[in-house]
Amino acid sequence: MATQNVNRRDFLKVAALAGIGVGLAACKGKVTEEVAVEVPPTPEPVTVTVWGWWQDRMNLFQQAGDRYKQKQPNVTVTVSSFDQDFWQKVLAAVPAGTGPTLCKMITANYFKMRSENMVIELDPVAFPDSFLKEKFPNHNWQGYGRFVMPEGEQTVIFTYNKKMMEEAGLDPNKPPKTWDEFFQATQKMTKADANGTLTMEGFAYDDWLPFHNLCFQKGGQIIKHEGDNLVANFNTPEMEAAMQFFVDLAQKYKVWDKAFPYFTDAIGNRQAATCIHEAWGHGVWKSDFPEVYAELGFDVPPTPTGEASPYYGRKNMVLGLATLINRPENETSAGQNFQEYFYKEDLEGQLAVSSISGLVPAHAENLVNSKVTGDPFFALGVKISPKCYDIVEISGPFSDLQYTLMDMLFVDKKSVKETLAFGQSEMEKQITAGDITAMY
Amino acid sequence: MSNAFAFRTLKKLHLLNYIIVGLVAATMVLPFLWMVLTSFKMRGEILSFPPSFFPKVWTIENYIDAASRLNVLRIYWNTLSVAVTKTFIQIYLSALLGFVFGKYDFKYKEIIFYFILATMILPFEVYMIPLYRMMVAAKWGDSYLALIVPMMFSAYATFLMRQFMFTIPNDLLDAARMDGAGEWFIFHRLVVPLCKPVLATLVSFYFMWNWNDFLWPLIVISNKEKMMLPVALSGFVAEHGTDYGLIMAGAVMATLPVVVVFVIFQRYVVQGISLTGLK
Amino acid sequence: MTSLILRTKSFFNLFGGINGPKKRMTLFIVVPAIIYYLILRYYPVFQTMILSLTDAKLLKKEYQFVGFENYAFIFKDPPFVKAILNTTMYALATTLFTVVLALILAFLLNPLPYGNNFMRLLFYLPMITSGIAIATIWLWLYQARFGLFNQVLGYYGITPVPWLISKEWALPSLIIMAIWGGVGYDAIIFIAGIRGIPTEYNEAAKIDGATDWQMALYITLPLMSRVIVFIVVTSIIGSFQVFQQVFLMTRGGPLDSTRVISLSIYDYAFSRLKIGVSASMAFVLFIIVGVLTVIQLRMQREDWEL
Repeated sequence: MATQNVNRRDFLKVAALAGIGVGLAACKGKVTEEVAVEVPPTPEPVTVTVWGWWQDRMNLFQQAGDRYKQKQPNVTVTVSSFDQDFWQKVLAAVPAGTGPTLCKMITANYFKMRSENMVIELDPVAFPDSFLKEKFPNHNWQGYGRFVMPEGEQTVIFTYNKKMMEEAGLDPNKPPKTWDEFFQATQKMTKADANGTLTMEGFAYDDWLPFHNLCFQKGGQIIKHEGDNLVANFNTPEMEAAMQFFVDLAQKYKVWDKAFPYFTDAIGNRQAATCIHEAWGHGVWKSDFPEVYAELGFDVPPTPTGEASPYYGRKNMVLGLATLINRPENETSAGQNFQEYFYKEDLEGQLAVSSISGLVPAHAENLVNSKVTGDPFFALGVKISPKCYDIVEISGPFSDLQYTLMDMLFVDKKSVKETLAFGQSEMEKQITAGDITAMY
Repeated sequence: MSNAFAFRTLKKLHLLNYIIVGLVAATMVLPFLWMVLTSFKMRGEILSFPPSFFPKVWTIENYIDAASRLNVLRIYWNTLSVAVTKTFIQIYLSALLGFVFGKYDFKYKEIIFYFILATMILPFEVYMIPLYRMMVAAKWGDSYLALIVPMMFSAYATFLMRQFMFTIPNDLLDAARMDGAGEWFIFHRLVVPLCKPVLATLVSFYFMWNWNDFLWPLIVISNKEKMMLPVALSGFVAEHGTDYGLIMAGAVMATLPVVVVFVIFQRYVVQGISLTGLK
Repeated sequence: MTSLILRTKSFFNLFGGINGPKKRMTLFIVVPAIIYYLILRYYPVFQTMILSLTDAKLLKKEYQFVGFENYAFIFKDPPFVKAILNTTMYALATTLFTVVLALILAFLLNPLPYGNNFMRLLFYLPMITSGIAIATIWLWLYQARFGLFNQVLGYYGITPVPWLISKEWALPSLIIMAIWGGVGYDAIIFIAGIRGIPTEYNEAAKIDGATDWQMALYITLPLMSRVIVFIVVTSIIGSFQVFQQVFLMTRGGPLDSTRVISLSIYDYAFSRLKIGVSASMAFVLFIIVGVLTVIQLRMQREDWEL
């Protein structure tokens, strides 16, 4: 139903007939399947809009856009940064036809938009399969599909304060490798006052998906495929061990206190000695806490037996730009050409974007760039990263579940068994409701 | 300065008043003060623990950073012009509506009033998306019309104006009518001046809300040239929001005009209303 | 032209019973207002309400009618039931304390000869400061281990309070913050209300020997009833819709102790994309607050005008 030519009178007439309102709501916004077609350099001027969040990062895309303009003077790339409420804007704008040409993606919303055909597939001529697998080897192309380019990989890192290790009589060059060594080391570094309240915790945790990492280290998987069906595999001995790890940290070894500040502040203010966290934390300490940053060491996370495990923890691919629907054809084509330029030619640009977040670069040639291999932190990431594994799409409801389970254990003081059972049943509910998508 | 309470005796009571009110005002202002001071601190100092109250080193780097990220003058102008226009229209229309509901009687008056009042109850998010699609269909996407028109009337202000209209004695209006004054004259020349305290208060609040309005301008405006201040500033809240200095500098920049407007309008508040007309 | 007047007149008989110039003014403003609200509020809301009877998803175009399935679901969903309870508690507690404190403040501040405007500016500040800034500051104040409040308590030997991280304290913490934010604002409106009352009444009472607090309680307060009702009603409406602070500070945790209705509405709409369910929650919110509002307005039946 064409809505482009609604004039005021018709509009009011329809408003009065409220019953038609529903039909109107359903019909607004054209949804057309746009098939990517390779076009030669653009003859008329066109503007490609790119939306994202976090101005510092989006500035890097703007710089890439400016570089692109040198090659294609008729194409102007305009990058806009909005904040986290950004997704409300995107989800309102795209169906209405007022969205951007390209959009920075985030996993949870990417899958939703893809299932509603809001993103345009990568041009198979510009990005053939062989190219993608060769140049972006760590990316799970099968799980994510060919609708968005990867930006970089988020790994799980173990950070420790070398100075505090020394003070506790430990060797700062030999961080703990096994869970047992880890418990002992953190106990030595924890300080408490007369009441037993911690004044410095041995360990801080990144409250994002704590259980997965440890579960994976034990070889567990939180999801199973049974034929065509997805089955929750939460209540397993491996997950039990993971939860018990945290309970022990707090209650048995007393090295961790939930009341402590968020891990970036805790480590930065010397309120915590060690931490297991996602890589981006490194960027925060480097820029905001330079004196403490100088004291920090980074290593692979401790595993149960100290063996180098491919699953040091959960690793996920951070997504880059995708092309969206509902824009004029010439704009979309220009946008796809820019995408092609950025991801095939602009290696420096890609490196800048992934580095600002502490990510391991996605492009194979960047993996061997001296800026990466020469930096101990990034080199560590590269070492950890092969096998990037988001077993499931971490949707909003699923991450909320993680917070709930943590609270059950430590606020409600429920038992591990009870929490496991609850986690299992909730996960089953979410799978049925379609809130969890498996990548494998 | 005559007002409802004219204490002439008992200075003691005043002192007690001052103390209590002063304490309360101090708690009100403390966080705000901290916000301002933080905006002048350097990054390392903000995040250090224990946190300092006064900056050890004063710096304006946050403000420079904020200003350089925004086209400050343009954005101030955008936000100012939209806020002023919206506020004026909203207050005027609400005063008119409040007057009619408060002073006139007509069939269905109560139902219509509840009809209007009911629109206050739903959270904005609920009708935001259909409203947005309407704006797009009317070709107002990315324009200031979409910011102003859907907000022209305000149930809240109408409600408040109506309540105040009740306190204006009908005798005054009837006297004017008997002298031959028309309704428009009565409204503009008699009623509105009597409502100055309320109007000044409402203007202060509505200007503040319109200035700080975030979600709707975020959805509607995409063009950088037309951007509004709160939206532009919120781009600062980085993924992990640790640049407190920048955030606070932005917040101060956003708040200052509102404070100025408040100060100006409080001067116009008539201190105490004496209906000398009826003596 | 004549036919226009005739049509207007007959349309006007719907309004019946008021005369000429008043009719014109009413027509001029009320009718456009009605149309405005119909098109720009009720119509979108109606669309959403229809959606509450469907299984609509945010980005999908097709949907099916499922009758009252959504409503059945939400009332059996423990988080949502908790949300209703929490939000009600929050709204009532916040409004009660804020209004009482604001009244006291208004009466204390009003007679002061100096510093009046300055004090009022200070009261105004919490309202106008950006929500993000306020959330940042109070998160630090409430930090369980190193935040200012617990530092002060610890200094005096009192056990620290697990402000935002315990089930018992999380909601009260938010309520306290809301009271802080709202008291000044309400007080300013109350002061305007006090000043709108003619001085004759108090002057007469003074002659009869009334004390200041007697005058406040028996004369001024009743005369301010309409303003007070306004504040109470709008406070409750506003509190029921609380969203930003909860979203920024606790996200409904721990364990749903601060889950509020708006948060659930937002979650289901933008996180789970289930706008059918989201719309049904919004409608429930609408009904609850609507009923409360009507009750309060009805209670204020008597005419206080003199």
